Amino acid sequence: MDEGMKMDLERYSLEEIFLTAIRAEMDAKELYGALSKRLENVYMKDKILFLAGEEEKHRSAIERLYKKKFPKKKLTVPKRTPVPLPELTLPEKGTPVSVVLEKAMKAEQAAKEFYEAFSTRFPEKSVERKLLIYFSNMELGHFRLLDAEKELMAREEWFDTEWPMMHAGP
Amino acid sequence: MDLSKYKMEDLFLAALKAETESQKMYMTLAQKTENMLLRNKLLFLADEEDKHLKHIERMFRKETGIKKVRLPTSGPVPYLAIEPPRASLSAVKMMGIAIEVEKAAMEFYGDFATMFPVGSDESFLLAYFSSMERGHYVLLGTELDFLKKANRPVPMTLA
Repeated sequence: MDEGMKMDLERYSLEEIFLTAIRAEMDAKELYGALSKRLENVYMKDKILFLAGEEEKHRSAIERLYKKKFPKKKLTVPKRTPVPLPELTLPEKGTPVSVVLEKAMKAEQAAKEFYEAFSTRFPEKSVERKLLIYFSNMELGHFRLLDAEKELMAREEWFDTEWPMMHAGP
Repeated sequence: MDLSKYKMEDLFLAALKAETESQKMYMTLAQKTENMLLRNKLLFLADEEDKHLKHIERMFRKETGIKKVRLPTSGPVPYLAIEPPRASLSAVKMMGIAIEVEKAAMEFYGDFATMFPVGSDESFLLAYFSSMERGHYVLLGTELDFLKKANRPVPMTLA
């Protein structure tokens, strides 16, 4: 991951940026939800569901910020993100888990850069800025978590195949 | 670490002890953390350690034939002792301890896996646990880097 990359959000309105964040978090949550259903490995499934839960919390926090910033506006989430971000369409049947993971990693990287740029729209010591920087770091954490899974997958061919001990409950 | 000099029973007990303490550590940290998002992450880690514990318990019974697990206060296998987090300890210090624990667990499971035949379920599972501990290490590392860089941008102090 190029951690020094910066996203330019200058040409977008604050509202467009908010809507992008909300849409992207919704898409990410949906993708992780769909991926978790495909997984037999209970450990990985839990990890992916954990990521879905984090994206949901981000969405909810961003929505609260949006309402605070635009109290008179009715929130209408667009179908696509106004700021172009890697598309997170649901994987078709038969798509290898590794491909979905790579896609998710690209999205996490973009989300990290997006939140970093988004944070600069708020005053330096504001709660909003701090929260968005924290979100950026969380997306970086997601990227690294997925990267660790992907690396494991490259090493072990069994990654997304059925393995009895993995889905036997404790 | 060369684990061949230890009895299988002691290795399992060391793993069980480490998982029990790690789980407790994350639960304590989670309870003491004001940052909801971080708390959620710590609870997730506690849950993963708990799952490891249950799997290891099953393996222990299968391998040793011992039904009741009695955790030792100390044993021949060296592992990283975890001190209960104190309220006065900073979040950065606690994260640092957790990272060291995860690093030790990653190495321990990696070596423990080699004590079983290549391709066996046991070797497989222990190698996977080693990778999972690495995942925890990475997750905490990201959090720690941030804490150091950002000088506590969101509430991180302990209650």
